[in-house]
Amino acid sequence: MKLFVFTFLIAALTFVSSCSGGKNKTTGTPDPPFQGEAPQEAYISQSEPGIYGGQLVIAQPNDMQKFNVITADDVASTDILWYHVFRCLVDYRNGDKNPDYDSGLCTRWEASPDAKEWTFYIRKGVRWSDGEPFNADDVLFSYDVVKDESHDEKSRVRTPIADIFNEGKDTNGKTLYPELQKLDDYTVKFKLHQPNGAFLDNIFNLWLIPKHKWEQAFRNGKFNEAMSINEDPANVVGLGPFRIKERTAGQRVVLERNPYFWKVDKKGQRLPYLNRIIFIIAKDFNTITLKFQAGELDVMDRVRAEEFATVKQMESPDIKVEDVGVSLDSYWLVLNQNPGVNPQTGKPLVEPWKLKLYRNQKFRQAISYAIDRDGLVNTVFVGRAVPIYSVITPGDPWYSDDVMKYPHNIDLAKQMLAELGLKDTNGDGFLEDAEGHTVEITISPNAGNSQRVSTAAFIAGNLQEVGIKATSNPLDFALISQLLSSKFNYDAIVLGWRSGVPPGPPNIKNTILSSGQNHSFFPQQKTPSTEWEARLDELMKKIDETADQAERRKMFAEVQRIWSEQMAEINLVAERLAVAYKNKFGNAAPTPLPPRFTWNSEEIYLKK
Amino acid sequence: MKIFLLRRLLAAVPLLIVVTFLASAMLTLSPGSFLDEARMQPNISPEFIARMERVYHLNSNNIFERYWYWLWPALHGDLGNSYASQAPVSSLIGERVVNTLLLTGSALIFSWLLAIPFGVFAAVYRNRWADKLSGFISYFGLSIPSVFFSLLAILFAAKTGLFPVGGIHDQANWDDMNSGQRFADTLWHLVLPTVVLGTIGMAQYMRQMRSEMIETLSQDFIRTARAKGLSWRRVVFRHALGNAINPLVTLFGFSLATLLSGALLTEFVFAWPGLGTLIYDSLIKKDEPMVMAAVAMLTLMLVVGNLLADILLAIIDPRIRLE
Repeated sequence: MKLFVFTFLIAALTFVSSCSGGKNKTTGTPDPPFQGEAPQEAYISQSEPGIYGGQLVIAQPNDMQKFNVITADDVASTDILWYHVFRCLVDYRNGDKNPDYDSGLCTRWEASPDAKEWTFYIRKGVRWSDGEPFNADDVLFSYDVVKDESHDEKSRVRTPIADIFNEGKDTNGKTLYPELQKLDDYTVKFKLHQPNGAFLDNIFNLWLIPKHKWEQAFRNGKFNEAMSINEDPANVVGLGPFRIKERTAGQRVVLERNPYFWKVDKKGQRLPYLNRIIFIIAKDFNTITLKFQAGELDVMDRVRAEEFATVKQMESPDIKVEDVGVSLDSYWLVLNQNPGVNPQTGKPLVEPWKLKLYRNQKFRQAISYAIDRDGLVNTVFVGRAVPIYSVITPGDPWYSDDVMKYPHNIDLAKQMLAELGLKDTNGDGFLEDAEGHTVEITISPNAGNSQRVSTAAFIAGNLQEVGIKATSNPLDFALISQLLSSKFNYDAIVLGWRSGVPPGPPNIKNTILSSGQNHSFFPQQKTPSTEWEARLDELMKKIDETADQAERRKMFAEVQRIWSEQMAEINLVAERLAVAYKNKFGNAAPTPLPPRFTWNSEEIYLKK
Repeated sequence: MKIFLLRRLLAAVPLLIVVTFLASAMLTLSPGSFLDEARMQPNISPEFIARMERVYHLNSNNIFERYWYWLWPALHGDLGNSYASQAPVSSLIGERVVNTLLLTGSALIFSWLLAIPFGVFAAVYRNRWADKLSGFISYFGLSIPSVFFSLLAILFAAKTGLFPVGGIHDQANWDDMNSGQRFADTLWHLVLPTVVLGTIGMAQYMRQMRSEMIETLSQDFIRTARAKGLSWRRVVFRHALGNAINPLVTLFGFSLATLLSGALLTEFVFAWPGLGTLIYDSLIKKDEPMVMAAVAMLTLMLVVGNLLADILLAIIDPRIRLE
């Protein structure tokens, strides 16, 4: 029996080892081969020409939920579908020295001087991944689907993209959207109701879908169920360099070359070079690291702070561990500054004496000085992070360094707290206010995130050093989300923002505007409660309406300055990101913005 | 027999209703909802969240109302669409069932095939080295947490390179394999999780088998059988085993119920694409239709497993009649 099992195992092992690595080489010929001709107005890539063949294997921590690029809102689906399978009218080059928009499916675009009319000139001769021609009608259809004005609430297309185009309501209460006109088969024009200098940011959310495939489903009010995860992948037709070949639940998603892709390289060879991209679903980050170490993965697009040292040791002529810069995601501490009352109990959300402190700029600044950000970086993030003092991180192209900074200064913090009339009156080692309330802060991180839990504990320690009775109390993420978005009766929370792509003011609007849902310290205000919040609202509105990029940058720098002076949220740190990958890939340009390695998947090739 | 079956299946209906109601009530009353993640995303508007709350009926906190929204379509055979993927839950479960059955089935076979002979030998050679060894194995299996055992196995795989680090297939090369290679590859991936799950199950069954066997072997009819000249082997395997196995058949019925539910942690650590990981993810995300369907299915499996055990028992033990 034992002998039998053993021989069987050996046989199995030989089988497996004899077949691995077969297709993982460059063959020089594309498989699947290209079809049709390159479009007459093909996009000419400026990257270094490569060779055909090979595949790229990368991990995806979550299972893919949808093929429907319009309704997809989970990380895995968007990671896989965006850039690789679907495209917008314009491209965004994440990994360039200055990340910016690029003419993708448009040869060019024009904005009117008042930023209210945007015209896009579509590339001629482009085909969908099933060979059907692409033209203005598809753009019109995609836009119709996104803003869906023809169905009732239940069957209306469930997409957050509509909000991006939302321009408020008209006098009849009808939601306003930019009007899209077809000028000819290859020209479309958006007419806006309000000036919007950042309209390309909106356009970069309009993922184009083929009219010939999905019109029927949309007309019948069945679009939400269309392109579901059980759909035949052959029906998932897009304009990206790859198309879905196969998807197996909980295991992998295989993309293969889109044989009709519309880009060519400088030598006139059609793109993409790679035959396949394979996303392996691996839920656990430790598993991903092990798989990379075992050579099963070609790329590890997120090397976490705590494992950076281990992964860095693997560096060799074959493996590169590249520091790609500072993440756009931030960590912050928020003190509840909401003066409202609980509608059920009639009690204030924050005790009045505490609210008075939290709403005091000096108090927040004192807290900020008391926090040892460098210590936080060196302990919790093992050196793989940078301190931040305002709403966006140095990794963001919109970052301005002209912000007020808060180097760790216990004495200054103590002095500022004393100036607020806080002193230790009863000799217990903690500060009291004039009425004898001990200054206590309960900081809640979300329990599932070990870095945030450690951060909260670290900050609590810092605050105790200046005489504030701070404790850390981790809560479930669902609870924290509820506290921040509907209940509002918390004390202090440690959390982070995830940045969208492309970064920029529209992306963070909901946090900065006093009416915003994510204006965490006092959300959804009817009118701004302070002068500086009013100023922020005004600046954000102006940024929206200005087309001149330099002007917008200047105004956004002021937003960051005000934010840092006020310490509206007490911003803490941003992680440094690293990407580890096998050195065999040409044109690899990893970047902090997701998709970190495959944003230019059509240009990446496997070296000989 | 027919009446017995009918009665048992009818009795399952109130059980299903109570269990699903409790599950639905707990989902309703526990804080948070599927939309929490969207709520914390800066680019999703409150209006959109509010609309989705209405569409999914998440705005009501009445446990009866919420249960009804699930029950009514479910009675008409519609278990709903997953919130996360908008695909019918039955199809999502269907995709995974085979993988879980493959793992738990092979673990079940592994544990029973080893548990019965080991248990019998341990009883026959009581207090000798064979007994002590099997005792050690079963204590090991009973006391080691499955997560820890799984992690040890993964570590073993990673350090020695003899086995794959989790997963069900070699995902990167699967497309280029022929069916023989695919079979071997799956088998290779199956070894470690089967050993982990199987050892844990085996320990329990082996202890049970051993104690039943010891009890039976000390009874009079065994002595009689030996006295009338039957061979030891025939006494042990025919007379003693046949009598000692009844409680194990009941256990076997229960183990059928765990076929679909028992491997959650092991699946998670081994990145096995089965039902366990699906249910876990749905619970974490509060994807209610998925969770409800899973709960209903697992309850049903328990009922059916028990029923099968009873029927099996009636077949092998002529003293038992199903009325």
